[in-house]
Amino acid sequence: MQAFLIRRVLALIPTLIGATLLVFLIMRVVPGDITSMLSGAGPGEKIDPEELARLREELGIDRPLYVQYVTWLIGIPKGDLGDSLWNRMPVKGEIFHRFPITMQMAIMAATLGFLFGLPLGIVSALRRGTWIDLLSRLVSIMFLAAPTFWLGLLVLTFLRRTFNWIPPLGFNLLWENPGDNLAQLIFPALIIASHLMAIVARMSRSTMLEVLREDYIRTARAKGLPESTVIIRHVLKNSMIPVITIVSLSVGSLLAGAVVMERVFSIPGIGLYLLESITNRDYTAVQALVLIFAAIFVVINLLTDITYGWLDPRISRH
Amino acid sequence: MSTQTQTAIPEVAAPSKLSRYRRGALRFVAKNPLGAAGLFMVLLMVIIGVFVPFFQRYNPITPDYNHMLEGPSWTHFLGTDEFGRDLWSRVVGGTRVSLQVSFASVAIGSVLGLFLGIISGYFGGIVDDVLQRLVEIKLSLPGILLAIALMTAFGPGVDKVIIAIALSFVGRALRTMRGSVLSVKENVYIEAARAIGASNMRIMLRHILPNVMAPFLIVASSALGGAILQESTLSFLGLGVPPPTPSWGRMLSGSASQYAMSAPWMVIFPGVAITWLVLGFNLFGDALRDVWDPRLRGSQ
Repeated sequence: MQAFLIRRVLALIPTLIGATLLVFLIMRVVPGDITSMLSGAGPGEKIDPEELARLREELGIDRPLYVQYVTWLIGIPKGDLGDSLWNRMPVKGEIFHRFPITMQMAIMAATLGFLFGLPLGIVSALRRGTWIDLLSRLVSIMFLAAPTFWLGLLVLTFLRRTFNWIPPLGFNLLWENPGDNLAQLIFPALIIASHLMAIVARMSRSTMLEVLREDYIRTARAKGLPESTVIIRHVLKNSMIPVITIVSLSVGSLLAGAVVMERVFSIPGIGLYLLESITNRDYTAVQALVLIFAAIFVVINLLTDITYGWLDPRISRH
Repeated sequence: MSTQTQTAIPEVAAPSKLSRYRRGALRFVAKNPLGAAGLFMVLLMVIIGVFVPFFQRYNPITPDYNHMLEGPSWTHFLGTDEFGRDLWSRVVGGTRVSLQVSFASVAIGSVLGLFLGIISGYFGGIVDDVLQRLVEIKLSLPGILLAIALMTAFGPGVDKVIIAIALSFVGRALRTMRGSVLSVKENVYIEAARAIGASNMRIMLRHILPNVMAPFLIVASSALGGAILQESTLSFLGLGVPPPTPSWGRMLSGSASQYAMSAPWMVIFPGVAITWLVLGFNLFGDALRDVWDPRLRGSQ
């Protein structure tokens, strides 16, 4: 198990490097860089090319591409994620500053999503064909189809029109300002959660239905076990295993949802930071953020793979 | 045995192809009412998209300052925006782009994934390893992030949106197709084809491809809904289809939220259109999956 773990972790590194390299190349592909943004010139205004060249040299973006990439890359193990091209400050600082907000929103969304999704799926499978089942399936497919940013807009509009109130803006940490923080994050979290809930409900429903058809369930019932025992001891345990894999799937949609929701609700998290950096062509910030996002994604995948192998003895046996 | 009389055997006319299809279609509707509903929803949008000028009562672009921010009425079904433009006509206008972008991007992305997946699964070995590693790299970046980065790099343009969204499907399609190819490869007829000297190309095209069409169509149809959501999200963020081409996502950005207080219909209806189309695709895709592969996780 140890060797397996170590091998897997090492295999992550080339993947992460590949991901950052990919985004690095994408961002550099087109002419035009941050200098036009920084110099603040209006459209059509002539900027002194010497000024631009000096700026580029200061920022280090005039060096050959591979030099830029490698210098950045070797700084990472030292903990240096580069300096933002926008404000010359270490990107790390801004990321640490904003990270808790997005992380909190994501955790809230994931918790709510599973909290509502799992029972919904389970009940739906157990009461298949009844109105509960139909209702939950209807609700699920609705939330799957509705774009999250639209739901966000609807919620904001509704709040403003009906209660004359909007969630607080600005930077509110949970431990500094719990009231504002929760009021700010609960709505976007709920919306992201609704999408996730739909996925979880559908998945858990279908795996449960499959498990319910299995022979060993029939055996358990034939043995005379009470239905509740059958469900709890056999059905649930076996249906929840594939649900773990949804966790890894959902991280992707959580991250994407975070980016969009932070834009709609003006939340200063790393999702919004990514959007801003991309539009400002702040290469260093984008690279660092992509590294963070990809790392989170990849680590969660690894954790779910391990959990999967641990839970299903058949897998860990080989 | 008299040779003069022909025993009249009533000839039952062989059912024509058309009536066979019709019966198959009716069976589909009966067994999959939701899927049929989804198909109907999609077809409705397609009809609107094809006959856009017929459905547009007003010009969606020219302002009409006499009727700004009006609510839904008999003259303006969905109300007007801040320039007095009829919202119904604008939503109708966005249909074409949504359909074009979603079909094109899914077609490109899943077909690319299909062929790469077949190659990866069939040849195995180092080709497979390299492709798998590339897919892993790509999949470590959530689709929308990659699309955002690509759109910022490429610049505006419908074709670029299509490519950016297409790329987000290649990974999943590749993996699914590879899995199907791996199981199809085990069949005896593949070995037989090789034994009689069929070239790799021929085996792939003639034997493997037809047998992985079902999972392919399932993957492709499930991707359609996602494509629309991606396109509308990109447009909402300002990174999608550029003006003047109407786009539902872009209709929800900017002025919609600005005027949301006084004109909520501007926020409601384009989103309803998106949800409608995505819902239709999802329902239909689910039904396809249930019909063709009940083994796969479905809602049935």
